This record gives sequence, C-alpha cells and structure tokens, in this order.
Amino acid sequence: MEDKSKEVKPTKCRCGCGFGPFLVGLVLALVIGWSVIPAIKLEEKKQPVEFNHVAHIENAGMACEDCHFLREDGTYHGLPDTAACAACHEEAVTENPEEHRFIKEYVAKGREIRDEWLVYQKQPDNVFFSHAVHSMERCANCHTEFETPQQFCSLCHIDVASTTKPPVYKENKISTYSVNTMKMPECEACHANPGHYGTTNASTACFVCHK
Amino acid sequence: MQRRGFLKFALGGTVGLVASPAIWTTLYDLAYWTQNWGWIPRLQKGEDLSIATVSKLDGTPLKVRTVDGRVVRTNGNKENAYSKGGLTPLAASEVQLLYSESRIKRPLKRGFDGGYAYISWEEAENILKEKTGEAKGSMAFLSADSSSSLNDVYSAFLAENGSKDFFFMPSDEQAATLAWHALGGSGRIGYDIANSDCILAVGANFLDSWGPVAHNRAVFNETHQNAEDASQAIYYAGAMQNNTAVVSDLWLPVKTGTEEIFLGAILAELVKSAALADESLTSLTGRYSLEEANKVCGTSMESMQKLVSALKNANRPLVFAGTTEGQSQGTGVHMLAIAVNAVLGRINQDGGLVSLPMDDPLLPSAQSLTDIFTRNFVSFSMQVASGAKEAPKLLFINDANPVYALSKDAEVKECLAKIDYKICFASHFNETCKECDLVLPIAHGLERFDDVYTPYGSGNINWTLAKPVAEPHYQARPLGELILALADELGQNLGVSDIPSLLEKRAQALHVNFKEYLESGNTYQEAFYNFTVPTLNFMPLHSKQAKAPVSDIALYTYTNAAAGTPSTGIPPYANRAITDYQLQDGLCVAQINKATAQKLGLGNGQKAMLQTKNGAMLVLVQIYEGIMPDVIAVMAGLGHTEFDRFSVGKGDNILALTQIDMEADSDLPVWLNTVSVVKG
Repeated sequence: MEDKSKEVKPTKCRCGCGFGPFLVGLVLALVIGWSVIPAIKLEEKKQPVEFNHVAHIENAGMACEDCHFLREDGTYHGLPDTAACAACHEEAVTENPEEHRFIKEYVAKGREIRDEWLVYQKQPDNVFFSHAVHSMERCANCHTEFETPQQFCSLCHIDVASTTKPPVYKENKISTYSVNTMKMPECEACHANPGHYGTTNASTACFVCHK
Repeated sequence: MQRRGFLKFALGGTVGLVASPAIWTTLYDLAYWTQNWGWIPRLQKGEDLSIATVSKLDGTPLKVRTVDGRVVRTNGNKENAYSKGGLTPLAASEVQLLYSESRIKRPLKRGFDGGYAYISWEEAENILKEKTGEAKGSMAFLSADSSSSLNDVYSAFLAENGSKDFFFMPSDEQAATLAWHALGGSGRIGYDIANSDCILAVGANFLDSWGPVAHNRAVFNETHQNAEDASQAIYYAGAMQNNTAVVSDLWLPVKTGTEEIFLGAILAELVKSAALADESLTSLTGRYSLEEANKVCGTSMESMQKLVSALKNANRPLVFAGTTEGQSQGTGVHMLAIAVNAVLGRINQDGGLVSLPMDDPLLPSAQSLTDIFTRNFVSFSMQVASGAKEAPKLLFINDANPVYALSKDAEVKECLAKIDYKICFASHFNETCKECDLVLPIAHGLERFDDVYTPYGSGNINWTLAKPVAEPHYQARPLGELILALADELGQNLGVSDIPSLLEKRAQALHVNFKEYLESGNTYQEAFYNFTVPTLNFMPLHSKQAKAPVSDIALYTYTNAAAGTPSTGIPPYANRAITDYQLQDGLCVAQINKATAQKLGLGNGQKAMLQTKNGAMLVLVQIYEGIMPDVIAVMAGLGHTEFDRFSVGKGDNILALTQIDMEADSDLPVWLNTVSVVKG
C-alpha cells in the first residue's frame, strides 16, 4: 500500500495572491467610486449673497409665501428679485455686513440678484414641472402626514427655512446641474406609484413631464 | 506582483467600481451633458409679462404672455367682465399665426413674368403714392373687419381721393342691418343675449362661430351653472347638430335654405294668439303655416308647438337668425326674425332685440356704417366683371380674401382682372394676394393699435382696445399708420395724426378714459337705455317670397374655428383639431345621415362627387346622425392653395363651389344650397 503520509503537499502560491489582491482592488475601487470620483466631479459654489432665512422668518416675521408663491396663471414665482428685496433693504436695516454688501452691489446698482442665484433644484429646459399641480393643497387630500408647507416642500427641496446661511451649491462638472437636482427615478417614485392611479393625473407617459 | 495577482487585483477593482455609483452616476451625468450641447435649443428666459389686449380675429379679450418681449401664449382675460376669461380656439391660435411661415416678410411686387419680387418699403411707398395719384376718383377699398374704428381712416382716405366705393365682405351684419333699416328701424341691430331667458337661434351657431363667441359662452356659463336649473332656455334651429345644438334645450333640425319658411310659420302661429292691430303683420299669416313648414323644413308638429309655446310663455324671449360666417341669406330671414320679436313685444326690451346707436364717424370725411352697408362687394364684383360697371383703376384690399371666400358666381377673379392695379395689404400670403400687383405685409393683430367696437351680435355698445404686445415681425407695418403717412405725403389731412389719437377720439365719444382702458384691457360696456319701441313697417316683408329648396339634397356648409378664417388659413396650432369627420385622406368629408345615404346609395367611407354649376368636388362620405335627412354637410375653410403647409393640400374649397343668387330688392347675395350628389 502506498504510504499517504509521504504524499507531497502542494506548495503555497508564490505569486502572493489568494484573495489578497482581489480584496485590495475591491476596497480601493469602492473608495474611489464612492468618495474620490464624486468629489472630483463636484464643484462647490457659494451663493452670491449669504441670505439668512431664519432672520427673515423669525426676526422680520416674514412667511415663505411672501417670496415663494404661485402666480394667478399657475406659474411659480420661486425667487424674489432685487426690487422685491429693496422694498425693505433700500437702506440697511441691520449691521450685517452681508446686507450692506447686497445693498451696495445689487440694490444701488440695479443688479438683478435673481439672475445670479444658484437654484438647487434647477431642471433642464425639456422638463416641464408645474408647482400648481404638485401643490400641498392637492397632495394633502390623501397625504395627511404633512403638517406644514415646510415639511411638504422639503420633500423635493433642501430645507433652507431653518438655515442661517445658504447651503453650499454643489455643481456637477459634467452635467453642470446641481447635485440636488431631482432625477427621473425620484419623479417616478410618485409618478409610477400605482396608488396614484385614479386619484391624480400622474403617469409615466413622456409628455406628462417633457414638452 | 505576478500576472495572476494583477488579474485578481483588476477583478477586485472592477467589482468595486461596479458596486460603487461612479459608473452609473457618470452615465447619468453624461446624459444630462448631452442636453448642454450648443445646437440644442434653449429656453430664452427674460421678463415675464401678461399684457391685456384683444384678438382681432374674433374680438376675444386676451391676456398675452410675453417673455423677454416675445409673445409666447394667449390666455383669456379673467378680469374682463365681457368675456370673463373665455378663450376661443381662434384667439388661442394667435401666437402660432404671429410666427406662421405664411407671414409676408417684405413688400412684394408682381413682375412682368407674373412672379413676385421683393422690393423695399421705400419703393412700395413710391408705388402707393404714384398709383393713388393716378387713380384719383377711381378707386375702391375692401375690408374684412367691420368692427374696427380704423375703417374710418380707410374710408376717409378713399373719400379724400374722390371715391366712396368702400366695401366689407358679405356678412349677416350687413343683411340684418339692411333688413332692420328697411322695416323702419334705425342704428345698429343688437341682440341682448345676456338678459334673455329664452333664445331661439335660427342657423346662428352663437356658441361656436357667430357673434362675440367668448361673451356668448360666458353668458352660457352663467345661465347654465346647474344644468337642471338653467336660467336661460336655448332653442336651436339648423340642419346640423353643432356646438350650439348639442347644449340647447331643443334642437329643431331645419333643412338649410328653408329658414324663412320656418320663421314665417312661427310668426304666423304667434300672430294668431297676439292682440295685434298691425295689418302688415296679420296679413302675412296666410302665407305661412306649421303644416307647410313641417313639410318643407323637415320639422315635426310636436317640436314646433313646443317651440311656439316656449316663446309665448317666456318672460324675455329673443329670436335671431344667422348663417355660416361670411355668407348671408339676404334680408328676408332677418326681417322675419325681427317680426317675430315684434310680435313677442321684444323690440328694445331687456333681453330682446335692441336698437343700438349708429355713431357718427370719428373723422370728418369717413363714411358711416349705414352708408357702407348700402354697397355690397359681391354685386360690385359681378358688375365690374360683366362690364355693367366701370372698373376702378385701383383697388385696396385689407386682409380680406374674396378669391377664396366667395363663390365662383361672384366672379372675383374676373373683376380683379379688369382693375388696372390691385394692392393687397395682408399679414399672411393668401389666394387674393396672388391676384394682386402689390402685396404689402401689414402688422398682425398683436402687433398694432386697433380696437373692437360693438361686434355684430352684441347686445350693447361695447369697446375693447388692441395694443401692440410685440414689435411687427419681418418688415410688417401697421396699415392705419401707413395710410395716414400716405395721406400726409399726398397733402391730405384726414383729421388725425396717428392711430392712438384716433382711438382716443373713440374714447372721448364714449366719455371714457383712453389710457385706463388701454392698460387694463377691459371692455367698456354701455348700459342699454333706448327703451322706446320704434314704429316698424312690415310691408317690405310682403314682397319677399320664401323659396323652397331647389334640389332634393341641400348643401350645408359650416365653419369651424379649427379651420381659421379666409384671411389666416388653417392655424398650425389648430391642425389637430380638424377631425376625421371633416377631413380624411386629403379629402373633405361630407356628412349625411343614414336615411340620406340609403336614398343616395352611398355608404360610410365611400367617395361621392358634389356637383354644382360652379364645378365638382370629390368627397368622402361619412354617416352621422347629427345631420338632418336630405342635407349634406361639408366644412368650409379647407382647400387652400396659398398660406403654408398647414393649409395647402387639405381638401377642397366648398365655398367656391356654392352658388349664389342676388336678392331682388336689397341686391344682396343669397347663398344657395343647391347641389347634386353622385357616387364618386
């Protein structure tokens, strides 16, 4: 009989592999894919003015609707213009240097702040989004979980109402849109939801959103 | 690291990348990036305004949305008390017409070879001056729009140059006004639809294409807020179940061309039970009866009695007649409608037939509407064509398209051929432009100052101002300003320096603030105040002989806002609103009901040939029970040979095929329903 104890055991791989190189490659790629590439793609930008939402709501007693409202024809007035700001800020009302700069550079010169403001949710031209159709009044017919407009608006928008300075605007260098711009899967979360059939006109037909 | 180790490392890296969002989000980003390529159209953003004005196509008050000075959309004007935000399909298509490829871009002059060549405005102005000087005392002017105060400028210019031959295109307004005056009425004839509680519309599709449609619909909305509790009853008599018929309380199918017999029977029935001393009316009763009407018109005794009873029992009944836009049935049908209102005691009453003031012209030498309505273009055209009347040396045509819109019987082409020089002012290149020697691009309704003053069908004096919401496209110019400049060049003073000053004169005549109405876009409405019942003489009705249809099958032509007007062609926007019931496979669709189809041996989808003495036309037959027996309905507004790809090559022009006759005493054209139908 053959003596099994004398069998030659296979020698250990000399190339230093096993799972080691695979794991190194995997971890490295995950780090690059999750952290490095997104960071490279994004360019951080600052808003032209450090607007303080909290000060305007709590100190000046303004409501969201004073600046962000639906026009009578159903179009949405998203951003106030310099003239609207100048209604209060023709002269400085605080010691805040940002306010002084805004008055000096925009109000005094008639420079339009709305042209320079970076819109976090800006959609491409081919997307037709109607705030009138997506209003809280309509959605709250079924979605009773929203208690305040702030909660409702924050479904899609950054909740800026509680910020003292604007969040950093992160622009994708390839697409040139903000990282916060909603993409189709996010739209489809509601539009493709069968629960909406029959109660809303939401559908996934192209011309519902793309004109 | 050896080869195998490297491969494992690469494999791990690949798995890692696939498991990370890097590849997928980058692909997404690339998709967005493709939308930023330079050649992809961008929204041109800018100042977003909503400017109040009025549609010059059908008098609908508008709010025009402009972005950065560009017109992008027309909306109804909710603040306007006259229309209450209503928007008609025609007014909705104003924007597409503004940018239409059929817009005339520069002045065009016919060359020796018959073709057109672009010329400069300077050269065009010199030709205008030269030809006007040469033709002094021998010129004519045709206008399509009777509701504009600018007609005063045109007729004053004509008068200053020694001519009175100012015409409008044929219309119900002309026929009804002449009928009203022939019976002893004065001023404009109006219909107080808003305050009536029972309307009988004979042929007048007043909720779709007759009168101030936006206003009529606003009234309908108010009176019919709850279908079961409507405050106004509507009775519609006509050959087709159109948009007015479908919402009426009772649709009485009446064979086209027999409206006089229908109204005569209603009149005779009402006179029987009315305490009338007017011999001129009571003596008419022997000429009409319900039995005869039922036999000739196709009505039933039950529906006629129901109608007569409704008119008798209503508090504020109103009766009016009308035809397809741009046609007329002479004065007879309107006289009978006036007579029915008189028997019901509805002349100059709230919600009745009202006599509105006929204002003096705004300019010293301008002609009044009363004068203008005594002349009719069809008669003029036929007389010039036949040589019975001397052809003028010069003809101006303002945005009218008689070559397309009038029957071949009107002999428009033959008339134009005899006129030395024809100048066509138009926004879109139409069939009449092609027959003219000089074609000048004029400003579209949204590009000029103008107004809509008491359009026909109104129940009160009303006035809405039009103002330019955009600069004229290409080289178009406002015609009013052009004529004023021409008069100035010729050393003539028409009494006004520019069009806003003319419109200000209108405001002064109405005692209203011009600037306020210009900015607000509101419609000035004058409360009706003339409750004096005029003494009418119905003897002229005795000379009318209501005719029974001359052919077994009656032709019914109808208009649809989707087909635009003869001056606009089919608006690009409205193409999709032309249905398979109107146009199919490039052929006009003729609608008949099943009984008529069986009588003619025709079936659904078969081809048939419509023949009149003016020619023949191949149509596609469609069975539709909304057409009364022995009537064949074809939509007008198709078969253009000019304008653009949205108008050309779509069916045939039924308007050219129809026959007309001249009414004996008024000399007005009467559109006939004669047609023969054979298998195609």
